[in-house]
Formats: sequence, C-alpha cells, structure tokens
Amino acid sequence: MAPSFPLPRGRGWRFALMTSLAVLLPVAAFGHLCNDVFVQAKDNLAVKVDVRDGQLRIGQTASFRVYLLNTMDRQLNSIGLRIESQAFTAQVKPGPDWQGYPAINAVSKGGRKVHFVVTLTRKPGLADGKYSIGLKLTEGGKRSTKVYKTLDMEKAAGILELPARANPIAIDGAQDKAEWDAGALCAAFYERQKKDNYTYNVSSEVQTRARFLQDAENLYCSLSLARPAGREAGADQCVLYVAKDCESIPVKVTFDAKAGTVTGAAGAEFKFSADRTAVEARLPLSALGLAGKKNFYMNLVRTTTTGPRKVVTYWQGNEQCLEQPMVYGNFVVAGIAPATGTDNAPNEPAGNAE
Amino acid sequence: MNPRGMRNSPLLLPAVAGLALCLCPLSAGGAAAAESVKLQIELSETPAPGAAGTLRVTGRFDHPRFAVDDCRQLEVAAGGKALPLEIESSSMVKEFGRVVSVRLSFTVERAALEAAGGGLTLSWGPDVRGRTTLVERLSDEAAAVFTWERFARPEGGASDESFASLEVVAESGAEHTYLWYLLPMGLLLALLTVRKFVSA
Repeated sequence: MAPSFPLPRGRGWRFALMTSLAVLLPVAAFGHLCNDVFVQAKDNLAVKVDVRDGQLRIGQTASFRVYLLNTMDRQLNSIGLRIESQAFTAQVKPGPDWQGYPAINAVSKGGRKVHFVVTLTRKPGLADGKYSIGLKLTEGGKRSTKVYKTLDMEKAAGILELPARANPIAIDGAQDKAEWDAGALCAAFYERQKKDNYTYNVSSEVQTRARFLQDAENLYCSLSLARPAGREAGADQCVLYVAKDCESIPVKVTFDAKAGTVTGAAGAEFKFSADRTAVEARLPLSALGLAGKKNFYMNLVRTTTTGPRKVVTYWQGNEQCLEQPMVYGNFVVAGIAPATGTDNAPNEPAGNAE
Repeated sequence: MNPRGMRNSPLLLPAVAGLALCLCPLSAGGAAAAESVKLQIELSETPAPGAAGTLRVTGRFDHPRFAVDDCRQLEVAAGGKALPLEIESSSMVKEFGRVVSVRLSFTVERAALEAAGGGLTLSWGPDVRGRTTLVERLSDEAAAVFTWERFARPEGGASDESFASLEVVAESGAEHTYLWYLLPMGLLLALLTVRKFVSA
C-alpha cells in the first residue's frame, strides 16, 4: 500500500500554493531574462573607445569616451563601466545626454548610442611610459559581479592602421600583391544566425576580403568577392560605409558586382575583374567627406543572393546599426609608404562612378 | 559554421564550452618569428549518434592573420597531440596565391579534450606540418562547430599589419605638447622683427 501524506486542506493550502507561485514565477522569469542579456551581450552589445588618433597621452589627467549600443532584443536595465588599471585612477560618468541611465534601450525599441566619459588620473610617482587598461562592463551597482563584457582598451578602440602612399595605385582590377599586400585588411565577415531564440555572429561561406590604402587625395579599395563553390551567382552588392567621425551620417559607396558599377562617390575610378569577383577602386577623399582627415570610420556589408537565398555578411556590426559609425573600424592614416616604380600607368581602361 | 550540422544534431553539451585556441601564425612575409594568440572556441553542437566517446568538430577558419602557402601548414592539437584534419578543398579561398580561408573538420576524443583541460590549439605557418587530408567536400554528418574570437591580437612576436595598437602613454609633458605648434610661428615672427630692424 502506498504511503499517504497528510495534505493541508482549506485556505492554508491554497494560500501556500499561491504565495509560492507568486514568489517563484517572477524569480524564475527574472533569472531567465537576466541570463538572456548576458548571453546576447557577446555579439549584440557594441562597445567603442573613441580615441581619435590612436594615442591617449596623459599628463596628469585625460578623458575619453566609451560608446555603447544595444542591439539585443530587449533593454539592458542597468550597466556600469569599471576601469582596470594599475597605473591610473579612473572616474567614470555617464554622458550628459544619456537619458534613462543606467539603462540602455535596445535599438529595435528606439534606443540610441550612449556613452560614458572616463577620466584617467596618474597615480602618484607613476613613471612615464606605456600602460594597458582593461574595461569591464558590468551589471550596474558597485558590488555586482555579473559581467556583460570584458575587453582591453585597445580592442575596444578597434583601430586599424591605414598605410598612406606617395604615389597612386593602378586601377586595373588585377589586385597586384606588390600594391595591396600592405593595405589595411578587413576580413572574417560573418552572417547573423538565429539560434536558441538569439541572433549570433557566425562565420560565413560567402567570403569577402577588403584592403585599403590612401594617398593625399584618394582612398584606394580592393575587394575580393569570392562566392561559394557550385553556387550560381545572383545579385552581389558590397556597400562601403564611410564616416568622418563617430557622430556623422556615413557616406555609402555601393560596389555592384552583377552590374559592374560603383556608385556613391563622385569621381571614383574603378575596374572589376573579368569574372566580377574582384574590384579595384580609387575613391576621392573629397567625395567621401574625408579631405584632410587622418582618422575616420569604415564598415562593409555584402549582400548576395543565390536563387531564393539571400545572405548578408558584415565586417562589423549588424543589421540594426548599419549607419552607426561607432561600430565601424577606426582607421588611422599611417606614414607615407615608400614609392615603387610599378604603381603608375594603368594598363587597362577603367570605369568611372556616377 | 555548418548549418546542416546545426539543424540535425541534438544539443548534448552545454551551450558554450570555452576552449582555449592558440593560434601560432607567422607573418605574411614568411618571417621566422612565430606569434601566438589565445582565442576562445565555442562548441555548441554534438557529434552524430554512434560516435560515442568522440566529438566531431567542423568550422571555417578565416582569421585575418591566417595565410599559408599550403593547407598542410595547418594543425589542430589537443594537449599537444596533433589531430587528423580533413580540409575541404572546394572551400579554400586564396589571396595573393596563399590560402586565407578554409573549412576543416576533425574528430577529438572527449577524454583527450578533458585531459587537455578543454584546450585546443590551432597553429599555422611554414614550419607547421599538420596531419591533413584534402577532401572535395566535408561530410554532411552532424558535428560540433568551432568558432574563434575575431580581432584577437598576437601575444608576442612581430607586429601585425592588420591591427594598429592603441597606446596609452603617461607623459609628463603631455599638457604642454601643443606649445610646440607655436614654435614655427614664433620663429617667423622673430625673423620678421629682426628683418624690420635690420632694414630700418
């Protein structure tokens, strides 16, 4: 005979049940939601340290901004920034236009980029020299140990060196190694895939590589637009987003491999390879709003279709922040590269942008 | 990432198993000094039924620093022991004649993985000789997927042309540096003043 347990009867039992449900369900739901944001933070919480020329020189004190953008599916209710440094003391304040601090609303729900202002002060007796600084984005509250993201300042700045050239590059569609090997490289594009209710960045079979160089008047761009083997080529567009600073609306230059055109930069010169899987272009800095700039922001997004399947790959960011320069790479123009004797005199006629 | 594998395989492992991946590239110019970068791998899928005790892992490797003359110059090791690799020849992407992106697959014993503390090492360079087999297409069999952290920087060795470094410099004279901009102007003014007095 099965043992029988005396169950409470009447109001006492119902009260206990309802109380338990009232306590446990919100706790479980809260725990689930909290865990969600920590899982999503990896690919959907953009962080950018804005240091204009790739150097932060600190006499006694210096300040810089740390931008944040939330592309998760929900608001982050509370976020704090901790600076980890043996050399400096740090003061972190939310930017004056951060409405709703310490919450960050999701872009999909009308949220915008926000920023912390970090002021570093040298510790007494600190010798001159180079120092590393760690950033830790945590759940708000001084005692919270839950971390959204840990990264060093260098990574959060996302700086790429853009080699400057003394002489122009031949726009012949040939992607010569001698010309492009030293170019700033954008590779490892990713797709966005939904898995377990969240969207993640995953490596793509549609492979894109871009290299950039600059001279006094032009930005040079070389795109390799490989396609997966055995797939019929459909539409294939790569859009270059260029912004002169973190606050500007980007200029969009569209490389259309199917049409064989480059649009969006007046006076551009370009040449596609015969199979349209490569293109070289000379883009006037003035057309991109970059005349005289030694530091600017760029991103690339490529869209291909094969039959009904459309694949969008990103170098940085995602579909929610295409026009937000803070997620782009921060390109800093480096010294003039030595001139070579093979770079002049294009040997094939090249196209011109509208 | 292998979408086919993702669809077919059940989730038996924890969603994310952080594994250290050590990348040992050589510079694109073929310089001798090796560099290493520790990255994270996420294993979110499991092998097909019947592969008890082992884990089949697949994925695309296209780290911006990756460039080899021959895909045999690529090795994955668990606890220092090289694993047999299958490399999908049709997936290779080349730049300037060098392989810069490839899909690969390997099988690792779970015990070996645990013994290695979850650490997998992916290395490449002219001196690396992996146990590689070229195949036209990788099997459609369900598999775990490896990933790696993008934009990871080398811990040592030569500088990387793809990444600039952000320097945080403590400099006693930083607040007065701008005064140097006044020097040429001051010099010019002084010369003009001297000239004026001399001509007068």
